[in-house]
Amino acid sequence: MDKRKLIFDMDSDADNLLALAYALRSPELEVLGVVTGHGFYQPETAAAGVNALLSEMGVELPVIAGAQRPLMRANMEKVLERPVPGKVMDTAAWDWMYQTLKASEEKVTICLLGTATNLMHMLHKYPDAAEKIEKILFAGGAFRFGTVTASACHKVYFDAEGMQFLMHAGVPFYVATVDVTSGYEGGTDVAAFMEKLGGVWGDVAAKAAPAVPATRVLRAPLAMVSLTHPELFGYGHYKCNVELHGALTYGMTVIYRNGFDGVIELENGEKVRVEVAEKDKNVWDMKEFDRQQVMAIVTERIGGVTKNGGAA
Amino acid sequence: MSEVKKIPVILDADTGVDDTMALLLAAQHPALNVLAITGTFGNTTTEYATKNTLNAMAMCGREDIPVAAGTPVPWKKELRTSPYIHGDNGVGEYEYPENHTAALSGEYAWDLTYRKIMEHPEKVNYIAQGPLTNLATMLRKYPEVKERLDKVIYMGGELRGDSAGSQCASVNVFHDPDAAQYVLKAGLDFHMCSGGAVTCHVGFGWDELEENFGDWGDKGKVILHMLKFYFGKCGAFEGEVRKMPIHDTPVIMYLVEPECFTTERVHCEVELDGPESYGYSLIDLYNINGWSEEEKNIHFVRVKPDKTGYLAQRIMKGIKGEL
Repeated sequence: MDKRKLIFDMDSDADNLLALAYALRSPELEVLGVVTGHGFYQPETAAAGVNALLSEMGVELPVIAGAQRPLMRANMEKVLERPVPGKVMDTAAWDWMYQTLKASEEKVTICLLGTATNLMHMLHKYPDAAEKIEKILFAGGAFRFGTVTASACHKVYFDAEGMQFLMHAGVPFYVATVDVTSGYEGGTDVAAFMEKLGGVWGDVAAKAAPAVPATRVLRAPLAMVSLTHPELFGYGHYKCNVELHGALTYGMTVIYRNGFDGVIELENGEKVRVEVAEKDKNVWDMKEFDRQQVMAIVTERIGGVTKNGGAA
Repeated sequence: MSEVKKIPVILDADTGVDDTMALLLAAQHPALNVLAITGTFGNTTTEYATKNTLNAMAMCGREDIPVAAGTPVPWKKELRTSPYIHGDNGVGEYEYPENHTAALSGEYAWDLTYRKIMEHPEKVNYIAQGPLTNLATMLRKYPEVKERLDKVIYMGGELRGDSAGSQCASVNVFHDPDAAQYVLKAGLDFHMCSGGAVTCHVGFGWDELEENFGDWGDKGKVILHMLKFYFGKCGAFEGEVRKMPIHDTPVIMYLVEPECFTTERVHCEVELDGPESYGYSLIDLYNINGWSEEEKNIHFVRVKPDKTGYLAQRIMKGIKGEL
């Protein structure tokens, strides 16, 4: 069976580590490497957290610390420090990603579990990289509520300009929002989940970056199941933009679900609503799925991970 | 039998089709004392809205209620109306046989409203069925009126994902975001009835409307003409048969029968800067931004799921004046 090739772009909160572990334990998937980004932590801290997981699982992978800050602004939150020693490749994340894409015969799926900055830099520097990307699967964004503010999801908010670029870069962009992966009140606490899993997860959790309020809920691993069990997921195709100038809504993902794209006045003075054109639909929005069923798949695949019990 | 005390209220409406139904319901409701009705823009122009109000009040024999026109334009943004839902004249292209003007006041909406409120011995309730421009103007001109206002009930505001005005803005906020922001920050007892949490849940089937208004003679025919246009523009007769909301009507019921609804105090303000989210009413339902109790400035209203059918029946009767 041909395995689907993946690159992870992530930070190292426990939710993301579980998502990476899910991919490593899935026979349908092959992880080519991991780049890390800024967010609540510095990319080096995140890379160390990823290394801790890989070491516990007995897996060797390239791990590269990526961009330190967003495109247009200073870091949007105080960066939490928690230095952990670990092996990090000394190269630019976007150069490594591009070389890896070019070296792959098949197209590669990018699992974006963090901010947009690394991918934005790659597509700026190497526009032809787009041809080698199967799709970007972004586990983040929110169309009904926010995480870090009342209107924005932290993964967008930390580099909203970068995310706006990435959503319009011409690469198929799939978004598994926090609306569908957890909902506001329906989420599973990550720490409790890891405790229940047992195995190496206690050690990993101790070495990974600590959870902050916005990241305490299990989300990203559920999105990963769409790569191994596509039959359980559906998508809507919409226009979507990131609000970059709102005083209250900076970093809010605005989706044109109602299909209207403003009002124009015709020559005869009649005012009509304009539908969103097909060419302007830039995201595939993951619909609600059976969370219990998908959780069961996640639990089954990563539940039995013991020391050095790496890729299945 | 002791006389039941009536609830004093002033209505402000951008009188389109659903507003007409709500005004008929309110004006004939035995529990309400409607002190004045003012006209605003939104579904149609202020001029049409005021005309439509006057004609609707003549139709139900309530020309004793004074009617005044308000501002024809928003505070800052350009005027936008919704002829693609309510028709050019606001009432689904229905032509009233004559235009009644006996109840038309020479005052501006905010002056009439202020005078009526100050003349009344008790605090007065205010229902805004359209943009908040007239209310904001009154508050600016007569700040002391705040103390004399009881509940301010607004058909507008929307949680993200439920919007109709733009990608994230509710129509009645989007029509004048600046006025809405002014009112939200004015320290009122503000009750927000959104489409997504209130009005969309009270549905009316076309069959039951035909049956209900079939026995109301010529008036019933007028009602059905307007509603057919409105429902048609909202897509009610395409695809599967479904019940449709008559948006402003449950908002009237919220004042009269609040026990059919639940409320929670939350913070809400309007985005005025962002091009993608201009006019979005950010309702922080989960208090992610950490507002204090004092900063929670609205009551976010929801209709109780088991009361929607009951309310629809009461509304249909009420529009005919049979409550």
